[in-house]
Amino acid sequence: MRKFLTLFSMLSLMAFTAVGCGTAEEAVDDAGQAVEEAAGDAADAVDEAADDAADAAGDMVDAVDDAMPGTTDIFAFEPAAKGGTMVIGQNQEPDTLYLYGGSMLAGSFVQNALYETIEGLDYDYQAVILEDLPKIENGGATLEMVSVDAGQQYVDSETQEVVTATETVTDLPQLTVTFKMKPGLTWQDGTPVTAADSVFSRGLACHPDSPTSKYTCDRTVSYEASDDSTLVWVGLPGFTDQTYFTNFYTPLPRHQPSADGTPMSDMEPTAILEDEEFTRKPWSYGPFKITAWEAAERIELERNEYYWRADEGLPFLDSVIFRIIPDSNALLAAIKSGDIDVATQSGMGLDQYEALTEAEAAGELKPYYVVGTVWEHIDFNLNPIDDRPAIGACLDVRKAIAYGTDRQNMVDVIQKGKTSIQNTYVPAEHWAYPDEASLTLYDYNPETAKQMLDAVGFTDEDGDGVRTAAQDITCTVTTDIDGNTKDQVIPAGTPLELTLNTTEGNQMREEATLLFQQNMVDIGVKINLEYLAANIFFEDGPDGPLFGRRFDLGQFAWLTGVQPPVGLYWCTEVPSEENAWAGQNETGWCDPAYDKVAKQADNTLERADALPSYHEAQKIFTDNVPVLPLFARVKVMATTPDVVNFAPNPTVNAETWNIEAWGFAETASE
Amino acid sequence: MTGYLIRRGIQMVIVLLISSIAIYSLLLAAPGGPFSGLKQLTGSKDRVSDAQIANMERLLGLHLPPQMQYLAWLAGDDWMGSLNKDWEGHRKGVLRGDFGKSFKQNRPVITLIEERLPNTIKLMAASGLLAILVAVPIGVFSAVRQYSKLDYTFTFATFVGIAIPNFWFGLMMIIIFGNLFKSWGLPFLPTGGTESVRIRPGSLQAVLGVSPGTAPDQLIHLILPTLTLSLSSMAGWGRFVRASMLEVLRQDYVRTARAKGLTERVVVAKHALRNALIPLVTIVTFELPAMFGGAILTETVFSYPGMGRLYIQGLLGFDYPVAQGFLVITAVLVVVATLMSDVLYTVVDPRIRFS
Repeated sequence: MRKFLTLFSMLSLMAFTAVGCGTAEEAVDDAGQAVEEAAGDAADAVDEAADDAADAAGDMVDAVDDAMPGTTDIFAFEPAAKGGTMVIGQNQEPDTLYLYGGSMLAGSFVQNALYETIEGLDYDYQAVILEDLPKIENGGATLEMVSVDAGQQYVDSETQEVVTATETVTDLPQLTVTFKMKPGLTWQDGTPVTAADSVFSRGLACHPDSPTSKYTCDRTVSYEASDDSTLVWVGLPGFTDQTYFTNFYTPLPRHQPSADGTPMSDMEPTAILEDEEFTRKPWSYGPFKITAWEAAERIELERNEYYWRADEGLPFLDSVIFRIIPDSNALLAAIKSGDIDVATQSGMGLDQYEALTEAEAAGELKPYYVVGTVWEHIDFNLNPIDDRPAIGACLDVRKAIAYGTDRQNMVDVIQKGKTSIQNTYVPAEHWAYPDEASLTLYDYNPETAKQMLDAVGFTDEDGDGVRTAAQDITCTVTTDIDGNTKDQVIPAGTPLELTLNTTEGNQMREEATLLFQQNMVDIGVKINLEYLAANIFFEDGPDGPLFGRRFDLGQFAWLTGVQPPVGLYWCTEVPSEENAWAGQNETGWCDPAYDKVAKQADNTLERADALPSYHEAQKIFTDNVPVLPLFARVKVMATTPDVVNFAPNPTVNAETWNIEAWGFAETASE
Repeated sequence: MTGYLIRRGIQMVIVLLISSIAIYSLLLAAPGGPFSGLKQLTGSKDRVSDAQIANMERLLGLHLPPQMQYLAWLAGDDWMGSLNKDWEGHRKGVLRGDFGKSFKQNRPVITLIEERLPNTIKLMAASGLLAILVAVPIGVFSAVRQYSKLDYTFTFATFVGIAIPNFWFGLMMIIIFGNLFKSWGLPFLPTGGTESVRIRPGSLQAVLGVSPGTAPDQLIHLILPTLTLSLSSMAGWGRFVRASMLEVLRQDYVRTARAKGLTERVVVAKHALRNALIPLVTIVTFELPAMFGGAILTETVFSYPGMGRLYIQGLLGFDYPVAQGFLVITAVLVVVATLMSDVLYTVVDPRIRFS
């Protein structure tokens, strides 16, 4: 009887599991058939609607072309049916929608529907609500040389820090930038958006109690409205900000009443942070406005009838609903069942690749894979704070490890071949990426890796598969911007054994570390894997393993963007007691030559003039390989097949950047 | 009885005080904090200086020494100016009904709890009720027909119920009743949330003619999470009732009842079942804290806006007031439930007396 029960139990469990897994194939077939039938019925109705929509959209596209010369490809959209409700799934609820209440991707998805400002698409900037990006070449900005007297502030060209002059300083460049807003921008109550709203916004952003960066605020002399639609920004003498044309502040509605009726302009910034009228129902001048927010469940928006592009027929949709779906599998199930129309990157990942491919084949959804700006890398520790052997200090060991890592395999296995190997801190598509011939590239070559390790003095005499230092190995590292050096001695007999730390619970990283570990076995390097909770791994120094520089190897990700993140590897960014552990260059790599060209690049106003310096900085970076860049991560999203104009972009965090153009190819979803 | 209650009341206050200190200490001791990572922002224009971080910490009261942070949470900081001007704030403290504000959302913790609690109570009550309605008959039947085929079947089913992880079962439910039913052309159920934002053709709501946001719509949304959540309770309680019932059925008074010539139905329902259910009272009473706490995994899988998700968000986001508020209220409910359970025991079982 017991045997029978056991067998029965096992069979039942297997059968139950099969319902969840095996029948998916049948479901795919059935769903495909259903979609074909539904499509056939709807086709006639749609043809007629599409003809009308196409005519209208043709006019709209022309209008956008006129409005945004030179940016046709990015902003172009195809016709969509008018009306409808689109449900968008995201895995987190925004903490706040107040612009200066905190930065969160979940908030950006919704904020894109409320505000439009300067956009950063395709590694570049677009004016959107401005007449043009004000640059020196088009007369929108001017640069003049000024002098400051003792006691006045200016920006030191070397450090970009604000300093007070102790004597007269001459020949300092000072920028004046004029922003001209487009006509027709209107708040959801019908009141025009004015330059004063932007000045008000800047006041809030720069208030000490607003949890925002004060970097630009501290380097600004003035930001004033010269008329209802024109703003003039004047920088501190010496502040040669390469992105000066983005120093525009998104307008905020000064006249929006708080919960007790007080206008926003009369409120303290700390009170604004807490008032739900501003944090959960902020007024919009974008395509949609907030109508309801059900805590932890959904945020509802409807068309803003005063939207400045309403004449173009935008937005296409009547309303959008952001639904909070924390579980990624549930998000996928929701889009497959039609509960939602868009699944954002916040809840999707490449671990769902097979399921997405299957669902796409069944006509249930359309997946999107976009190479983003988050890039994974393995960092060496050149100058540990503790007494561990500083194996990362040896350049040839770093190079050998780079040669011994099959990054293409990582891309193929982990990222499903949807991205490519990254060689520096910017991807190959980036405007600042140099000609690869000028870089030291580390194509997978385990033989070269072995030869280099032999040459350094790490050999495997006992044949146990792990190399050891045959004699004392001395590697020299530069420790500060003045070029002081330190000899790191690896005693004879030290095994070439390193611990690779990364965050726990991240499948992609765990897979990458396993592949890396196997690659290293092949060249005689023993890698111990240690996964840590993110809050422990990323804890600030001196206690944190990474930013306290108490690690051998660390894998994590940094963000790149329109501007290359050259500052990541400055000497002054090495977290240490001197800078209160505030730096990001936890590798401890310091090269004054890199700092010089990197800062020169960042301090050069015009991109074309800065390019040679950016290229040189990347050359030095790859020559020294303090970090082994792996790949840029792929952002995964999905829509139902009838969603149109969904156009995720590498350098825009939230794919709702063009939500005004989103729509349905047909009205079947209603 | 009064003396007993007073003694227990004093013990409860001490337990709560100690547990709140322990909770606060553990939260503060965890690595990281609400501003961890700010120092590592990459773009120069996004950088936040140490002075700014210090200012943000001051606004949240994190500049106080740890023991004073606890005191401020407990008794407020509006009086602390007399100790140190720098410590003065506007909080009243938990003892005066102020659970503080969420660090992340800048909203009162009580408001956040008020928003989620009704959903949690609905879900937990529905699953608890369903579990009892299924577990008691199954347990009784299994005990009365011990070693029968049905007993084996129920036993197997309860073990499966106990063994299946909630999140997996929930996902299976979503896939079967949300995705597969749709593809099979059967009335399919919603995959999550508490109510519909639109009715899709072919859905159960559409078949029944239910409008979005109405009570029937909300009831339909409760079906899958309730089934998922009640599965393990159903199974566990079923086993419990079976064991309790088997024990009671062997008692002399049951034998006496049978000897008196009572029908088996009366013996089981009147003499055995009532006594067998006494221990279940304890278990069900302990559902009180769970009614508040919700179910993290089930709520997550079904995108259900309940207390469990609030807690985990607070915990992962270093939102100390939210996590602390949740844990302390849970602690209060646990000690209250313990007391209620003890008191109820004496009510349902006259043999037990306070000492």
